[in-house]
Amino acid sequence: MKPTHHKGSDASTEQSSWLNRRSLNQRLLILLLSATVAVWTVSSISIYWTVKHEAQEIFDQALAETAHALLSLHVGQFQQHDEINSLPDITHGQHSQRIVFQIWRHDGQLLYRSTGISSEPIIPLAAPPDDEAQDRLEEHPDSDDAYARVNINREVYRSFVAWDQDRQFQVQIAERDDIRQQIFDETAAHLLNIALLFLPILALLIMTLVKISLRPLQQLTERIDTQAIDDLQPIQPQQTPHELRPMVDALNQLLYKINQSFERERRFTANAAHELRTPLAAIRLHTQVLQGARNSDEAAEAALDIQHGVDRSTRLIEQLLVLWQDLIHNIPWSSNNALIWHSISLKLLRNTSISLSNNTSPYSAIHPAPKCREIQTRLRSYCAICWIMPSVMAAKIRPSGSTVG
Amino acid sequence: MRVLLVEDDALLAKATRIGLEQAHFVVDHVSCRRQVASYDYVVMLLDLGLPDGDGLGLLQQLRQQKNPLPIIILTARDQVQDRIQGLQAGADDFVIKPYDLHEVVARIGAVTRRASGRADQHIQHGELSLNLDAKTVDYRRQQINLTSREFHVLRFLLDHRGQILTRQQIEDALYPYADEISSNSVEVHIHHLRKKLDKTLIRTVHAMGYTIDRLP
Repeated sequence: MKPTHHKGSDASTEQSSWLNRRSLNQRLLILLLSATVAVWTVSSISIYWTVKHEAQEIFDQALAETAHALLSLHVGQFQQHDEINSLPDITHGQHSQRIVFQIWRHDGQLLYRSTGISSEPIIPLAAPPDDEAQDRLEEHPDSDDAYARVNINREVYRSFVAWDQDRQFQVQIAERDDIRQQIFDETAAHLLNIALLFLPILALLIMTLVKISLRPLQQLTERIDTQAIDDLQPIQPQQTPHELRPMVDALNQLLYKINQSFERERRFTANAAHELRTPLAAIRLHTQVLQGARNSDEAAEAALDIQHGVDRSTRLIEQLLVLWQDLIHNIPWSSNNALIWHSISLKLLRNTSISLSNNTSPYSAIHPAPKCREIQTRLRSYCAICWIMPSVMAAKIRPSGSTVG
Repeated sequence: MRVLLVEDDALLAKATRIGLEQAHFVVDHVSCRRQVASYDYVVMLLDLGLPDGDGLGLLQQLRQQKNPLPIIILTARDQVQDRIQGLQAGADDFVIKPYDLHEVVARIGAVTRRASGRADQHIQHGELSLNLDAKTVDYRRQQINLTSREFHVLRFLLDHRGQILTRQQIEDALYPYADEISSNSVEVHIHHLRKKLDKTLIRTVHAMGYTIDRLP
């Protein structure tokens, strides 16, 4: 069965590892800047659409108000004049192309049209609204029912129709849609430019704040960097932020363990050195005693003691090699207990005639049971001092082929 | 000179004891702290790893009791920290095993010389001169042949000039405590010294002991 390959999962892992390779400073900057840009983009789009909608409503409202203003200003004049274009043109100037309008009588007669608009109605003429529709229009003058989009002279216009109160005259007014859009685009672009200007300032602010926030970490790093390689003193947690305390505590625990480990090894080495040096010192002194012997008996005794010293050193070195092999191979047994065990063994080796063998795991003694019982008893007393379970130690030295009870 | 050796390793202690005896020291050996019964010695040779407690403890205890006994540490602990610790605890010297017998003898000489306030290994008393390294005696520009015991009796008396030393004190300085000593051995040595040097050098104080008077 072939292993399934998840592309999405791999991409995520790759991204995660890419991010993990970055420093904490870079990570924070990348994440914060990305999040800020993303939020900024989404909010800009949202604002754009909201403002666009609001602007549309404002433009529509302005169009409706213009229509009503036209009606209220000229209804009286319309009632007095029947001829077309007898009213002054109020759409001269810059707005002549932007806004066009027509004023129609209820029977379909065009009373007035602005410059640049034909006699054709902007939107098809319809019967005046009934009372209910009129009331609804008066209550909601901005209702979408009154608005439409029409084409005039190949341009898209936004149109609005308004009736006077007596439903005798109607105004059809239209505003160029592209100009409305242009006005909105210019306003939106202006707003976006201001926001874009703030984006690098915001990024700079984030970078500075991240740097300030990470300063305690930097200081901690510098403190650890400047600590001498053999200085295993704990790091002082003062002036360390609360969030870094667990890390400092963990570091201090690690330093403590390393220190303890060094201390144990140093003690073991010191003990081993002591046990080796003592018989060597004895051999050397007996040699000098032999050289300065005052009589033949003293010389003979010194020679015998030299021999004893050599035998003892040879045996001790062999036992130390066994202990070292065990130390190397059985270190998982618990480094702490193992080193204490080795230290105890060294002490015992000096005073007893036992031999250790690593043929079986981890040791088996090759001595008669009474001797082993004596050693076990001595080990138990040592172990009681060292807070090691006596049963563990009892298993270490036992008569060949016997079991520990 | 009486030396106390505190060493738990029997083979090493035996070699040190015999070696020092060959160098004319009187050596008392104990193998643990609780066997130390007296501190009336010219120097103590102290091993640190003792079966009934660290030798440093004994050292600190002595110094706390304001005991000025010169102490040389003989140990296999070779770390600088161990040496600093030993010297700071009050040791006068620190020798690492395996050591040379001649070096130990020289260090004992140096330590006792400092303790007695002498500048070198010579004791001068009028026309009498003792070389402590060569164990020779000159009197009126002539070398005098003395036995080891006679030399040490003379040195002991010169070290305590102006003080009356009892026969027991002289015996203690000459012989290990375990040794059988004949009742008149001190008188015999004094007699030989007077005969080889000068009858007036060593003065007998009736019913008390012997003394060498300070020179005016």
